[in-house]
Amino acid sequence: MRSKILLILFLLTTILFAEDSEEKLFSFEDETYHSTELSDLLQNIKKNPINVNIADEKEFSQIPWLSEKDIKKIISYRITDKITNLENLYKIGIDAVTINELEDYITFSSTFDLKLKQTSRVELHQPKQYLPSTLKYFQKTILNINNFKFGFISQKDEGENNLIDYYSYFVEYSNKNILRKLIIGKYRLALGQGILFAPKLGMSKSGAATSVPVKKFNPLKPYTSSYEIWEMEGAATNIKLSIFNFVPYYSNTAISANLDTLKCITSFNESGLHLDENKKNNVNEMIYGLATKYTLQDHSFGLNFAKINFDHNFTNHARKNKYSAISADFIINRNSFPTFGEIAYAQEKTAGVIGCKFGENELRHLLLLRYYQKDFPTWHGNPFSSQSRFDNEVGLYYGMTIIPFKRTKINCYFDLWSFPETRYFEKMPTVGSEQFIQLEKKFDTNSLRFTIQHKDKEKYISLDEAKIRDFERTTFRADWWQDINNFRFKTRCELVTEYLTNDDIHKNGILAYEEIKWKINKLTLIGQVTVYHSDVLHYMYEHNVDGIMQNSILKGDGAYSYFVLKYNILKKIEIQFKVSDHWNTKDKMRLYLQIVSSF
Amino acid sequence: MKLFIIILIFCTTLSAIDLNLPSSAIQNATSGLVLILPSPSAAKSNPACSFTGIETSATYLFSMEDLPLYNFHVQYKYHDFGFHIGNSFLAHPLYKESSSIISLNHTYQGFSIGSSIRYLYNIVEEYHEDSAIITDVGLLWQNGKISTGLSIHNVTHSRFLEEQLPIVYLWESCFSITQKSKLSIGLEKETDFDFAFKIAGRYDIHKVLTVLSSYQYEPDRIGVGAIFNLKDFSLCYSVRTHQYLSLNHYISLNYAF
Repeated sequence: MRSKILLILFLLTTILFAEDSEEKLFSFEDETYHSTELSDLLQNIKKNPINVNIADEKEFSQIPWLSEKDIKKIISYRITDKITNLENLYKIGIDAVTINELEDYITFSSTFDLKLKQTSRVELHQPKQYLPSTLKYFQKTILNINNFKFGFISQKDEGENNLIDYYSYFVEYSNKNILRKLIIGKYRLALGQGILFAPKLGMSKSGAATSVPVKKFNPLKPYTSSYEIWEMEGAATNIKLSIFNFVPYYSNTAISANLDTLKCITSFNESGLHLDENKKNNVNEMIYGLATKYTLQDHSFGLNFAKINFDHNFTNHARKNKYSAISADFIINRNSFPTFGEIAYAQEKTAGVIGCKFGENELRHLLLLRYYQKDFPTWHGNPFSSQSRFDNEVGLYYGMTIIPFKRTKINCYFDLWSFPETRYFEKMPTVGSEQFIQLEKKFDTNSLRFTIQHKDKEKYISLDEAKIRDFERTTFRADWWQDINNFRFKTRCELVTEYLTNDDIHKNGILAYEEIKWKINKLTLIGQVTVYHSDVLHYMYEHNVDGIMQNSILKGDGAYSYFVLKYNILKKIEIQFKVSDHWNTKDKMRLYLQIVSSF
Repeated sequence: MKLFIIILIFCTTLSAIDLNLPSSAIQNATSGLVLILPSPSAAKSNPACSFTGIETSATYLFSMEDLPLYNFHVQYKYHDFGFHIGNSFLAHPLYKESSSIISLNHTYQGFSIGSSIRYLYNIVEEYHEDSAIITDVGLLWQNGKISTGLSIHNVTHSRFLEEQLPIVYLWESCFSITQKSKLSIGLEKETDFDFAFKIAGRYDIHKVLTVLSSYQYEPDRIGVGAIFNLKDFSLCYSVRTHQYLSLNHYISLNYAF
C-alpha cells in the first residue's frame, strides 16, 4: 500500500527532482554523427581507396553508401569479369547516385604494397593565450607495408609542455586466414551493443531515427582517436575459426584520475587536458578478457568476458576497483524483423539493451528498450542512452522513418526515460522525454529540411536556490541547401525556447547562418557567417580540417564566422587551413593548419 | 484510502468518472487510435466505425491486480448500417464502473456517420452511487489510402453527481503507406487536459502476424502490440508505458464474422 501511495504522489507531483544530466556530445546535430572514428575511416578510405576487384565483403561494408545488395552484385560480377571503370558498376546494377558518391572511395587497379599517410596539425586558440604554451599540436603517421600497419599518433593540448603529452602507437597485422588481426600497442574494443566496450564518441540519437541507435562495430581496431582516455594498451588478436571468432585481449595502461586525500578515485579526467603533471597517468588499469562470436549469414551471437583491475580504490564504495564483467549479445538479421541486444553483468549489477526493427523501406520502425542498473561500471562502454554516464537509466525509444513520397523522408523518434534511483541529493525517480520530427524534401538542385526537437526533463538548476526543476527545451530549425554549379549554399534559421515550468521562466534565442562551399579540382573553400541573438545555448556543427568534428556553442548577441581552405598542392599532399572568429568579442580567434600527405 | 488511490491514479481532480481508458488491446497498442486497425470496440471510440465481429478484452490496469478492466463488444453490419453493443467493466472491490453502449452508424459513398448512447453506472462503496446517460457522435471519411475520423464524446454535456462528465474530442487520420504498412496520427482533447498528440504504426509482417506501435505526447507514453491472426480469430497482446506507474498489459480476442 505504501508503495502505491508513493506512486500516486509521484504522479501528482509536478515538481520532480533530478540531476542535470550530461548531454551526449553532439546530441542533436545529426550531421555530426560522423564520430572521430567514422570521419577518420572515410578520410582513410579516400586516401587509400578500396580496390573493387579484390576487396572482401567486410571491406566494402566500410563504405556507407553501398548496400548489402550492391556488395553482393559486385562480388558476384567480378567472379567472371574484371571491373575496370565506373560504367561497369552501372552495368551491374549500382545506381548512378551511389556511383557518384563512391567515386572518391574506390579504385580499380591493383593495391600498393607500401603506403604512408602523415597528418600534422597545429591549432592556435586566442582565448587560451594566458597558458604557458598556447600551441595545440597533433600528428598522425600510418605506414602500411603489405599486411602490416604501423601507427604513431601524438597530441599536445594548450598549456601542456610536453610535445607528446598524449600518444598512441600500434603495430597491426591483418590477414584473411585464421589470424584475422593482431594488434600490439594501443587499440580499442567494441563489442555487441557497446555496454562493456565501445568507442566513446559514438552517439545514440540523430535524424536517422531507425538506424543510428543500432550499434554495429568492428570489434578490434587500432586506437587512432585523440580522445585521451579509455583506450587499451597491450595486445589483442582476432582469430577466426570457421564460424567462430575469438578476440583475446590484454591491456595495462595508465589513466588520469582525480584522487581524494586517501588516494581514492573520485573521478577520471576525460578532458585530456593535463596542466598538472602530478594528476597525469596516476592510476593504473589492467584489463584482460576474451570476446567470442558465432556468426552465420543472418545472425550472430557473442559471449564476452573481461577482468578489470584499477590499482586505486574508489571514493564511492559502490564501485569496486577489481571486478569481472560478462556480457552476451546477439543480432538476428531476418529481412523484415531484425532483432538485436546485449545483456551484461558486472559488480553484481545488470545492464541490458534490446531492440527490434520492423517495417518496409517506406515505413520503418525501431523499438529499443534499455535498462542499466545504478553503479554498473560504465568506464569503457557507450551503449544507447540519454546521458554520457549511462548507469541508473531505464528507457524506451521508438523511432520511425517514413518515405511517403519520392524524395521525401520523415524521421521521427520518441524517447522516454527514467532514472529510477537517487541522483545527487534527491531521492526520487526522475523522468525525461524527447520528441524529434524531421522532414526532408529533395528537389533537383535544392534540398529542404525542417526539424523540431523537444526535450522535457527534470534538471538540476540553480536559481535562488539549487534544486531540481522541470525543464523544457524546444528547437525549431529550417535548413535549405542549394547547388549551383560548383557552389553549394546552405542557409539555416533556428529558433530555440527554454521554459522552466514551475518558475514560469521563459528564455529564447534565434540563430541564422549562411554557408558557401566551393569546390573545383584541387581546391575546396568553405565560408560561413552566423548571427545570433539568444539567451540560450545554440549548438552548431561547423566544418573543419579533416579529422576534427566541431560543434560550436553560441549564446548572447553576436556574429561568428569561419573560413576553411583545402588545397592539393601535389597529388599526394593536401594543405588544410581554417580560421574562425567571433566578430564582437575580443580574443576569440582560432587558427588551424593541417598538412595531410599520402604516398 | 484505496478509493483515493484509485481515483488519483487517473486524474488530478476528483472527477474520476467515465475514464477515457482503451477498450481493447489494439487501442492500448495504438494509444487509442482506432482507424489503423478497426475492431468491434472501435465504435466505442468513434461510433462511425464499422467492423463486424465480436471482441473481448481484459487487463489489470498498470499491472495492479485489484484493478481489472473487462470489455465486451459486438458489431454487425447490415447493408449500409452498422450496429454495435458493448460493455466495459472496471471491477475494484471498492470502486466499480460499468459503461454499457449501443451504437448505430450509416455509411454513404465513403462517408460514415454514427452515434452511440452509453449508460454509465459508478459506485464507490460507502461514498456514492449514481448513473448517467451519455451520447457520443462520430464522423468517418474513407477514400482509398486515406481515412479520417472525428468523434466527440459526451456531446450532451451529461452530468454525474452534479459534476459535468468530461467531453473528449478525437481527430484521427490514417494513411496506407504500402499494402503492409499503415500510419495513423491523431489529436485528442479532453476537458481540463492539454491536447494529446498521437502517432501509431502498423506493419503486417505476415498474414498471421501484425505488429502495432504508437507514441503519445502529453502525457508521454509508448504502446506496442502484436496480433496473431488465425483464420477468423485474432489474438492481440499489447503493453503501454506510463512514466511513473507499471506497464499496462492488455489482451484481446477477436472473432470476425
